[in-house]
Amino acid sequence: MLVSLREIGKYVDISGLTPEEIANRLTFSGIEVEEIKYSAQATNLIIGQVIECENHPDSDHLHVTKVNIGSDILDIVCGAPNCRKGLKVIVAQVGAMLPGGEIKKGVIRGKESNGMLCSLRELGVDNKYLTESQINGIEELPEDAPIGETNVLAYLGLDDVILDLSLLANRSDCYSLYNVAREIGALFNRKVNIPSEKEQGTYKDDIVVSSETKNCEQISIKVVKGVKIKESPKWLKDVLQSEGIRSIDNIVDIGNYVMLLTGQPIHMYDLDKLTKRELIVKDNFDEEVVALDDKTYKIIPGDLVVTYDNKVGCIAGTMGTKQVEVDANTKNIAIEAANFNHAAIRHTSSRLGLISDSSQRFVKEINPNQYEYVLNLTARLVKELAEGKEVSLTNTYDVLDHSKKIVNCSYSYINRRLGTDFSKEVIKNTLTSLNFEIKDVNDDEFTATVPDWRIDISDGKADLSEEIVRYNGFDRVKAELPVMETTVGGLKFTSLRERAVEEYLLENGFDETLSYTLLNEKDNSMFNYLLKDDGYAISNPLTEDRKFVRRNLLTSLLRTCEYNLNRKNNNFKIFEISQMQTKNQLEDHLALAFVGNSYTQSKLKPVAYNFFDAKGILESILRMFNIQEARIRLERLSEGNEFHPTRSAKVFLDGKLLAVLGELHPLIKNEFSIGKTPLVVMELNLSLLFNTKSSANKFQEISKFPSVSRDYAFVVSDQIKYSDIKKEIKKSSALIKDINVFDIYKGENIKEGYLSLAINITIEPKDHTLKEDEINLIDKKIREVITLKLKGEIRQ
Amino acid sequence: MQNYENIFSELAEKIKNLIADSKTMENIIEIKNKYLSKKGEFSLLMGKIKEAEDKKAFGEAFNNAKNKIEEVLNEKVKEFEAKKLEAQLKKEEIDITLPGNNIKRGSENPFYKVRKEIEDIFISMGYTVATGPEVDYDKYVFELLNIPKDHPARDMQDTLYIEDDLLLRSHTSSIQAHVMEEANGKPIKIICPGKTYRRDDDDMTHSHQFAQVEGLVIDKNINLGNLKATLELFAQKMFSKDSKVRFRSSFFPFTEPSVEVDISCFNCHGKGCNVCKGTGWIEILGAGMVHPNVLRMSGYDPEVYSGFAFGIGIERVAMLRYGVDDIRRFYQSDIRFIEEFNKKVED
Repeated sequence: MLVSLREIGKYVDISGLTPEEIANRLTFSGIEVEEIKYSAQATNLIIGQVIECENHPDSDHLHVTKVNIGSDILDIVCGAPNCRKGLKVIVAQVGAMLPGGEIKKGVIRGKESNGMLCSLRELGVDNKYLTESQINGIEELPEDAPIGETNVLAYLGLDDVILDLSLLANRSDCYSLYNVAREIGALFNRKVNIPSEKEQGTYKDDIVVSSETKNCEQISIKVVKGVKIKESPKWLKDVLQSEGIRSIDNIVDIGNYVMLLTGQPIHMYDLDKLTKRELIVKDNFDEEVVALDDKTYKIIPGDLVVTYDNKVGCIAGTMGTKQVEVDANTKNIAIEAANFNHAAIRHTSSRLGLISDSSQRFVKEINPNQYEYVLNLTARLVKELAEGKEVSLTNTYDVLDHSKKIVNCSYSYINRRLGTDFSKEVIKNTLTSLNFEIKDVNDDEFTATVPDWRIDISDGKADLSEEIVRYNGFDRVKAELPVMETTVGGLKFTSLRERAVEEYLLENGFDETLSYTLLNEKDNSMFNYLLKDDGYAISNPLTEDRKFVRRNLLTSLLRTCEYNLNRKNNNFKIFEISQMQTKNQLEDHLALAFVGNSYTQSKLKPVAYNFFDAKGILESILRMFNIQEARIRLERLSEGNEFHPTRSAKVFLDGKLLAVLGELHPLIKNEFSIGKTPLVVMELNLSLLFNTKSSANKFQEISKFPSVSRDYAFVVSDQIKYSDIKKEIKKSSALIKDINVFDIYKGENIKEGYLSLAINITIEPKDHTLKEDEINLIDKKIREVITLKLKGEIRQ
Repeated sequence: MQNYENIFSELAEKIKNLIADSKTMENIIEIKNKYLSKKGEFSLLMGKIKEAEDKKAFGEAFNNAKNKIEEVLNEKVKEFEAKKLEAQLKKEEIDITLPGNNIKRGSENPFYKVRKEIEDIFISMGYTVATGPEVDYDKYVFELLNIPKDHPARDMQDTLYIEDDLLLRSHTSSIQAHVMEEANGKPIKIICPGKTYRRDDDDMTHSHQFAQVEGLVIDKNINLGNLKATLELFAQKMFSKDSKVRFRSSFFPFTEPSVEVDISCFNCHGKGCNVCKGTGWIEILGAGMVHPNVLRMSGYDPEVYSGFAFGIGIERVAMLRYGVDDIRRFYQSDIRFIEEFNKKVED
């Protein structure tokens, strides 16, 4: 909302207040002034006349002039093409401050110049208000412009200041200059003068006014006969321009002006085009209409329309239709002031993508108690500016509740809610200044009658507390920490565990990345191993790229890898933890990636990351949550085509799918422009891990007796999995504490289909030092398992 | 008692001189073989015991002499070994200016750093950290927060919908609605961090995805001054010890009064600089007193209970704190960007 201070000054005394003071006070009380715009900004200007104009001898476009400013004649060099002898001009004298800087005495190519001849653009006037020639040349003042006049901005009508208000959703009442004037009057304790309007009507017209929908509870019409459509007077054009509205003709301009003043949108019909003299609001139409912007709109049931003769005369509150438009030949008009349901207008306006100054006001609630005033104001202006001859009394359909809103409140409540100590007097004066009527009920309680235009005050007491504090300043609120029962704060179950996983990964050199939740269809169709059920799709996506709520975290992580590889970040480890949601599941996932090589030191000894890097992290995380190895089962990933078919796995915890991990399929690596860079990933369902039962940390006696360590090397079929070998050997004695592989060899001297394995077995006694024969017995059993069970051949 | 020492002294002296003159370990071994082995010249002197009257004295004298030689010899061996070791260690010389082994800690995207820091500040004040679903029902994102269907405030939040009644939450206040529903009218002191989504084009300062930390305190006698003090404490921990907060009147459907909260500029301490655009103040968050309707809808009697709520933008704080110019950087996750934020504990 643009507010011209020149215009506001007509309704509230703002003398002595600077625009900055007004803006600051408004902003802190909840009406944010986004910008203070000066129509023009310049000092030390004077009106002069060019009395000599010669071409500059050393330039093809400069002029050397003598300019008469009354008290003096100035030598000025000017580059404007339209500079000529006899022209009345705006002179910025030496020392003048213009938006572009200070004007200084100078010598231009050998010729002295004591000032500058100005265009309006150079005074800071926005190009959009200027013609092409005004932009390209100096301003040509009329012949009667007074030489020597120093108040040049006022002479030009450019001494206005515009406040650009950014209105909060609840303060739509300030889409009205009158209400902004009231607000300023209250805040600065200045006299407000909103003119009253007399009844303009002199006869009863027979036009029928009605509504057939509960979404319009009031519609009122005044008829004005004998109008003449013409250009608006300059003052009205100036007002509209300063408010950013283009002037059309007197009738349209009056409508906009009235709306600007009062906040009530009005609409005007050509009375003679109404084939039946009625205006009835309906919401059951289903047809296409051509609106005033010459565009066709499809009206559907539910859209409010003002109809006549069963035809649409206006898309209610939004825009009129072409067929009853006021045009250059219009003689008689019907003026409408109605109260349409804001939700209904919002629906229609947003569905049609049709937003007008009128609909912008109607989508908020409007003051229900001013339509008579508005119609009389409009009719008076039509008489004055459009030669309106005869004005009817108002014909109204009105079932609207016009009762005043009354709030029950107490002085103590307000201070209690705010943490303030405002006196009764201050509270009462504040509310009275803001046009509330206050009546004391008893020593503490009072009632406040809400002014008609403050439709935002609906919930009562809390609203009043806001009025008090925004008016008197938030610096009156005493900062004091809340006094509550002491409670132990902290992270909840999942967040606490997530932080532990995060810390573990960070400490192990992973960077923690962040990515978008919404994916395109293709990315969302990959890597869906952990969450199988339907995901969510956005019904009103901004782009197809951000349409699906992701069901896996790996695709996003791989896009992050891709982004980095494209920027020559070649070797890194990253992870991300995120909430994942599908129609039936809500769980947190961890995704991580090893990219490129690990290096021992600087770039020494590169080792390409592989499957076991990811598996190591998995094992470590499982250990952090005390998950016994026996509860974990790994399976090759047989489905899907994203992973390397023989270097990837599904991980089950107690039979439930916990994670997928592995190296990627070369073809998928190409999809992500990863190429040949080694890359290993894992996605793990943290929620499953966190919510599974695991044993608590508990002290167990550490064996006091020396353990025995034995190495075994044997050749065995490469089809037997290491986990089976370990499991079988473990069975041979309860005293086997640990089995570790320390060599695997395949190749020369080992026949095809076999490998040589070397393992170290730790045997730990429980209650006595093992004797030679006991050790030999265990050794014998281990050898039996290797040779008989595993069909291995022990190497000597 | 007879003195036999002179029988050995001549050869002993000779051997000791030889040891003293030896240059290498090999010389020592030669000497050992030639004189001190079983058949060595010195050992053979023991044979003369047959001729001695006092065999015990002879034996003692022999052993004394031999021990003295061995002592000298061992000294020499130690000397050689020390030299050898010294030489070996010298050979093991490394360039200590080469880099250390790769065991660096990772870095977190500053987004997470700030989120954790905000969480930790409020945890230290006794707040519990609550979370909730990102895809949520209209009821929790809007209805229970005093934003009924067709409320003008829905204009303020251009929401990404899944179905009429189901959407991607546009603020983390939805978590507050869940917590209030579950709290059964008991006092509440929570913060709710989380991702949020709006139907917004991405540019330097806008993002369709961003994150907030919502805060909510409900109890008897909570007032606007409590909010001010809480946020001031937060700002002092997060930004600068001397931070001050300032309220400006604002509007949110779920709070009344509603305020925009500015903090005094931590960069220039109020003098005016480019961080605060010359004003000395930085707009940091929105807050207010919980609207009576919100309390009522979740089963709190607004005549008895009151509360405050606030919403902090995580990226906004991170951008201010670290001078990050573009919100998209958090989501691109360029490793070079992330690794700029290694410092584990902020000063």
